Formats: sequence, C-alpha cells, structure tokens
Amino acid sequence: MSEYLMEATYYPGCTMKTGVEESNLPMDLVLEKLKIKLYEIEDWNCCGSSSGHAVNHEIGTAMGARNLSKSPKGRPIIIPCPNCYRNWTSAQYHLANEPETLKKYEDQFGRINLSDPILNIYDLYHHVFNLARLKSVEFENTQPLKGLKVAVYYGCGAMYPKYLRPVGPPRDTVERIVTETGADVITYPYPHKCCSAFVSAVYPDIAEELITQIAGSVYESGGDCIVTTCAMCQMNIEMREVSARMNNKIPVFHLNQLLALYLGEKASDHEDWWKYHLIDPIPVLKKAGLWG
Amino acid sequence: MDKEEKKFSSAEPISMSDSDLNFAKEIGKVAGTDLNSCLTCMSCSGGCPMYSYMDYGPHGIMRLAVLGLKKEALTSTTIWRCAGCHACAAVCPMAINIAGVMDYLREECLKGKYPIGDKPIFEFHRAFLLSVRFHGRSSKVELMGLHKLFTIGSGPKAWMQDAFLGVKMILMRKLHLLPSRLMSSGISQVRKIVVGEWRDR
Repeated sequence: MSEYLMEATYYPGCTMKTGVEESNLPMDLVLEKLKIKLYEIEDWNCCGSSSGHAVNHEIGTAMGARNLSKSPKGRPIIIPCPNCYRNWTSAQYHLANEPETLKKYEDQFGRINLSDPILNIYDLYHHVFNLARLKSVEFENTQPLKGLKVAVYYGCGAMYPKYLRPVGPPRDTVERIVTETGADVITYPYPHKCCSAFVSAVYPDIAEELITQIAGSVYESGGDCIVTTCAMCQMNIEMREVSARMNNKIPVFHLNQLLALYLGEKASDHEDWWKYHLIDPIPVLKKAGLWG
Repeated sequence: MDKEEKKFSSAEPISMSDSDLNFAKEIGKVAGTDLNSCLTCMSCSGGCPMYSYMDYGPHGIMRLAVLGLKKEALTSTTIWRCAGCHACAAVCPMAINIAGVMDYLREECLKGKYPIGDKPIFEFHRAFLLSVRFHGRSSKVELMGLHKLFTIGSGPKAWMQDAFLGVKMILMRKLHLLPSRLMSSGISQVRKIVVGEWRDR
C-alpha cells in the first residue's frame, strides 16, 4: 500500500508552466494534503491547443500522440487546463479509433499510451470529495469558507464534442466541491460562456464585452468572487475587467486557492498568492472573515 | 470591432450555379460527422459567444456546407473568429462536431489559397505555431511580440493595444519573460510535426 491516495502523471501545459504562480503554489499544498502525488511528464510539448488544431488537424493529433507516448503506463493523467484536456482526449480518441493514424505515430514516437484515463483537475477533486463523503478519506483541520459568495465559472472548460463527453457539459461538479467547502454558490446566467480565449489577445474589445456580461452578472446576482478551474480564464477575466474599467471589479480565484484555504491554510500567511492578482482579492477575504 | 450584419438575413437569392455538392461529404469524412443531419435549429448560433461578430454564424456555415457553397464558406470571417470553445458542439442535438468542421474549413482555406477572412487572427495562429516551433512549447510574451510584429500594418492603435497591461503582468512576474523549452531532441521532433500550409501565407 502506497502512502499516497493516488499517484498520477501530470501535464502542466504552457500556461501553468510559465507564470500563474497564484494557482500553482496552492495546488502543491492541496495535493500534499489530499495525499496525491503527481509526476510531471518528462519533456512534454505544447498540446497543440487553440492554434495547432485550428489550422491543421494533423498537428493536433500529432502533438497529442507525442505527449501520450511520453506518459508512463499505469497512472491516470491529470491535466489542469481545459483546452489541453480537450486536445489530449480528442487525440486519444482519434488514435484509438484510427489504426492507420496510430501506426504512423507509433513509428515516429514509439509506444503510445492509450489505456490510462485522462482527468481534468476538477474531476480529480470531485473524486476525492466523493471519497470524503463516503468517509474513506478524512480531511484534517478544515476551515469552512462560511460567508463567501462564490460564482462558479466553467468557461469552455465544460464544453466537449459529443463523442468525447456524451452526457453533455458538467453542470454541478465544481458547484458540489464549492458547497462542500462551506461557501455559498450563487446562480448567475453565464457559467458556461466562453471568456473568448485567444480572441482576447487579438480583439480586446470583444473580450471586454463578453467579460463585462459575465462579471457584471456575477455582481448583480450578489456574488463576491468568481472561481474557475482554468488559469487562462482567471488571467483573461481579471485582465479584461481592468481594461474595460468596470465599476465593480470581481476578483477571480482558482479552485486550488479556495481548496487550500478550506484545508486549513491561513489567507494571511500567503501574501505571495494574492500579490499575483490584478484585482486585489484581500478585501473579499476580509469581508468573509477568512483573513487571519 | 463592430458587430456584423448576417449575410443570410438579406433578401437576395442565393446563387447555387457553381456549388460543389460533395463538399459536405468531404467535410464529414475528416471531421467525422454527418453534416446532412443538421436541423438548422440554430442552437449552435444561440450558444456562440462570437456570433454577433461573425458574418454567417455557425448555423450559416452548416447551411453553406450542405448547399455546397464552398467559396462563401471558406472566405467567411466566421471560420476565423470562431474561438474554438466547442459550445456549439456540446449543444448540438444531432451531435455534429461543429468546432471540428470550423477547424477543417480553416485548413481547407489555407490549402486552397483562398483569401483569409480575418487576417489578424490568422497572424495570431502563425505567431503561436512559430513560437511552438522555436521552443516546443508556446511562450505568451514571445507570442504577443511576434503578433505585434506581424500586424504592424494595422496602425498605432494595434501597437499600443494591451502594451501597458502586458508590461505590468511581466513586471508582476505573472507572465514569465523567458519561455520553458524542450530538450533539443524533443524540439526537432516537434519541428517535424508543426508544418503545414500556414507557413506559406
């Protein structure tokens, strides 16, 4: 019996690797407390997301095939970025269903791992919280996030073509996790609306309009903060709230940050997480009584 | 960016004289879906975040493909302004992979040397893939720099766009200035993969 609850392969993706420490640092703490050990894939490459598959379908599959050939057998693969997740699963689907494609890339990269499941980071947390509900895992020193009103934002991280996720987008996965931490989940109109992803870099005004709708509706529904599972969405929303000069700016947390607080970390000990936010989240934490 | 009038809402008749009736079948083969099952229910356009900035919208592209109007579909701005969020594919009642169709049409547009509907977005894709070719991974800072260089003809507004916020985020160390790289053997493998017609445009 290993000392860990789960050992998994980890693919950070380009966004989590170069920057966004505000979600990387708490993730290490959360995983340590949940007794999950992640091993980063050796020499991984870009997943081919947003541009690779957009201009040539072979790039998307080939990038996925190379990454899959690098991941060792016997461990599930954890991917924090929804876009990377979608590309990995779609490459896995194509390789599993098209023997010629599989043969072509096995000749190029060696054995390709098609047997292990690929999990999104919120699927992982959902699983652990289900175990906790069944009392097979117990959390110590938890600190309920009472009084924090959270709007859960999936963005396009919930959207997959029907062949990858036939049941449709997840509607309550993250909500259940957040409810379990003791925070209030508010309902608002746009939890699944795309934050405009890469178009934000080319046409900021499109992104500003979309994010004014999303963040504005959170404010009107009485939310204090947005929680997301995508580091890219987190950066995009905060950035566009600032550049659109919104009157009521809503800070955006990564799910890792809220879980770290729930699992007993003190907010005031971690100035290094909050300093990376473009919109200062400390007033929200103080208002909810989570500071100190 | 102004909102676009939908081309399908005009009263002009659609000319079908040079339509390619095998177009939908070709798309279906690569994208793995049957376009003829489209109901034109417009669920895809209803969920599309970019709908108001497109000239046809996703349901319009489905219609053009089924009618075989290849040139209209491949030169539209719709296929380039698609953000690839897959909202259309997730809501489609007939399980058509609409975002996959958009990917295929973009590829066809580049292969057939059709005029590109939205140049700045194509330049973004080009900058992204160049960055991946350099390091094996993408680097946000380098990507934005290259994009600014490629779209230098768009005028001073585009040069200054997000410059202040970008520099602030680099100074905050929210974005790392230096990219993370693969080992050299990995980079040469990636360079063999990341090829295609996008390099000639």
